[in-house]
Amino acid sequence: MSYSLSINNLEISVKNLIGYKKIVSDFNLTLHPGRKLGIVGESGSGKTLSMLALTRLLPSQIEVTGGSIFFNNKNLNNMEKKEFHREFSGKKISMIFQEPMTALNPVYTIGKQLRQAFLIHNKGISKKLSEERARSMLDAVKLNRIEERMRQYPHQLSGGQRQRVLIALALINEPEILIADEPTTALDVTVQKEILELINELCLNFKMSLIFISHDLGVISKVSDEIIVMKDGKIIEEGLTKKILKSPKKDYTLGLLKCLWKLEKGNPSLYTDKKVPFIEVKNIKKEYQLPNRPFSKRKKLSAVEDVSFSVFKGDSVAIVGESGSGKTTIAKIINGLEYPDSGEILINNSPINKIDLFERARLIQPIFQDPYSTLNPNHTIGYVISRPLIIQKRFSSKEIYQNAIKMLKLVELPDTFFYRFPNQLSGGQRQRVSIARALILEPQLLICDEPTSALDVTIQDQILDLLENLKKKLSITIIIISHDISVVKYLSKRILVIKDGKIVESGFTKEVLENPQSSYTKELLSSVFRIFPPKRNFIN
Amino acid sequence: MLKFISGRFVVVIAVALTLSFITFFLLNVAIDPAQAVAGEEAEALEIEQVRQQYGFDRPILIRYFEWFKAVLTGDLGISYYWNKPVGSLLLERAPETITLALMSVLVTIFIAIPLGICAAINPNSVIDRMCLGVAVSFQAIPNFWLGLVMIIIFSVTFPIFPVSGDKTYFHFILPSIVLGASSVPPVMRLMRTGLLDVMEADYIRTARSNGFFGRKLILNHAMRNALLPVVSVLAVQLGHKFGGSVITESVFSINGLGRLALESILGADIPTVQILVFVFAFTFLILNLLADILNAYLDPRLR
Repeated sequence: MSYSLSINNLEISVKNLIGYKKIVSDFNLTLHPGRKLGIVGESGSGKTLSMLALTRLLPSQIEVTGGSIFFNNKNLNNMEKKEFHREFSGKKISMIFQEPMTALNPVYTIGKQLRQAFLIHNKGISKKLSEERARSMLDAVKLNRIEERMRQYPHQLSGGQRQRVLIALALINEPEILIADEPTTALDVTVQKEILELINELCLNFKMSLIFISHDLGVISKVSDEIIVMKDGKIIEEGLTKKILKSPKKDYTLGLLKCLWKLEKGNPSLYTDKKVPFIEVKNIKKEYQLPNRPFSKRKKLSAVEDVSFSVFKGDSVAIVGESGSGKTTIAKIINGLEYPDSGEILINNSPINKIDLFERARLIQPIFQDPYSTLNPNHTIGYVISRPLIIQKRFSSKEIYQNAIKMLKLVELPDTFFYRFPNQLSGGQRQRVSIARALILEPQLLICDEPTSALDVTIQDQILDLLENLKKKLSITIIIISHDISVVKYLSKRILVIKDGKIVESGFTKEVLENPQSSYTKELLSSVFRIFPPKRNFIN
Repeated sequence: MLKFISGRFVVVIAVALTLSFITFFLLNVAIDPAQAVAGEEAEALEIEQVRQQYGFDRPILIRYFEWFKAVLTGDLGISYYWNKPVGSLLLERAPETITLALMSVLVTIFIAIPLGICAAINPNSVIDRMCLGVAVSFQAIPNFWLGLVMIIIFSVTFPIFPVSGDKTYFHFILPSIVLGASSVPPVMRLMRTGLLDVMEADYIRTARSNGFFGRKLILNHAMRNALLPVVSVLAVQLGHKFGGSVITESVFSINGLGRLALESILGADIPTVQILVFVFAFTFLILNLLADILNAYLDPRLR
């Protein structure tokens, strides 16, 4: 059972027309039995690539161009790919990935996939034995109704259940090392907590060591003894988890931590009061028709059930809930992108459906989650930003140009971006463009649907700051929708917690978070891994 | 599953009914049925007599319902041109076309799928380029020309296969290859891109990390997913073969439905054309239904 893994000076390069371009260099790591290592870094830092190099799963354009990987004095880099997969993949080193929704083969049952994964390393085992093994694995990952699960297909399971099956698949041949690449990022917070606990427990039971990759220091701190911090393809800091969280040596790590501490501290400037009702949502309900099947009753899915709330002028209200809770539907209804089945929405005391479309566009503007797909790739940034003004048809082209430049300044982007195309911009820059586009009509209300979920922490931090500044500068009303309580805490004065289309708790953010009343809010809060700033803190 | 099939079947029937009415309407508008029965050189009076006698002067809806009632009782009408019941004409000609269509689809499957897999396993390699080259040239060659060249090579220069006719299965080999060749390119390309797409999928990465590689990876994890789109296209191709084998049937003198359709249209034979259009359309719909059922069997998400 004793082994050791050591990666020395690993170098990974991407092949392009000119030659090779290094994307990871000087990557070193040693892992002993039973240790739990976390690798943290933002997207593009090379944390996933270095592990894919270890498991020989690198995409075809990317190659290992230097260094060595030793497993028990055997250099894995000199091994044939075939031999590696036969001797190591799943047997000694297993890997689980970020996307549980797509990581299982959709056309085979759970039972069959588990059995096959067992058989690939144990040829000639009887069907009965392999089935027995599959069942015991499902039991080990704490799935209920095992007989039923064996016969089910992946699409019949939830995200959390699928991730459990994937863990079972990875562990069925009892590997020595489990590599988990952001295994909980795509999951709801309450499910994330369960999965992390499961991984911790299985590491003990199976006597495995763990390499856990994540962008989220909060998650990493729960599962690792040691941390490696990566940036731009290099390790910039490593050490014991406790030490790094308390006193990081590098500015970058400190920066990462500061973003989290700041969210933890909250935002005192929020609590000023003005009581002019701006939007009133009264008893709205919305049901969706599920796809029709011949000869069966039409099924309906109730997305929003009887929700009422009001938003005051200059207010910032957060709607928090897990996926499927109906929070996005509410946003769509207020935006006028969906119509409620019943109930009404008043803006400045007039019903929203009576307001003319152009007029409504000048009152309410949305910002969406994914900055990569919300900008038309065929238009210049300038055109994207000025489009709302062009549609309104009452501005000269000079006015439109001046306004667009003004907006670019407002979101802290240089003028030269006017002539760029979206694919030349980073995720954070794109989100700034979406904000500029939303603000050019000088709306009174911004509806932000998960505005930072697709972004790295440091970028998230900048965007939150920007939104906060804009709110003060333009005295704009904001409704923010998020699954992430810390984001909400930073940006919103009041909070609505929503579950299954109903509001389960509402009130001032500070009070709700400090003293939650409903059990659901408590559960949500306990699932968030918080990192508290140290007593003598680094901020200010 | 039963619900799924019966639901789809109702749709098939509805589409087929609509189609039969549209063809009935169009045919009766495009061609004067009385003229067609009386013959091209008939006098106006004669035509008028035929019109009265056959009841062509009544409204089109009534005639459609009468025709439809007769079809339901198994009476498909009498061909003006052949002077035979349309039903027996169909029975005579259908076996040839069915044999030809099925054999040509088998040819397609046996050429296109292995080539597609080869190309996908070695993307952008010499093998891949060659497969694509072969496919493109097959697609570019007109059917009748390929047929004639095959006859010259394999029946005249090297007399292995008979020149024409439809007496034995042996007679069908050359025409099946000719007819099947035209569907090789689309099916092969779909197999290739399908498999390439699947090989990029997350679940293939999972399988790799579990220790699958090489042939086992493709057979146990990739194949079934990659075949899904191919099945639908094969069904469409088979449908085309049933209705679209006119040229091949003519080149090889096979007395199938394709030639029957051609001759009936030239002879302005409304009852036969009407039934043939309906049969072709119905076969097409049924084949698509079968493809959907097969796909639902292969892909549990569709059930």
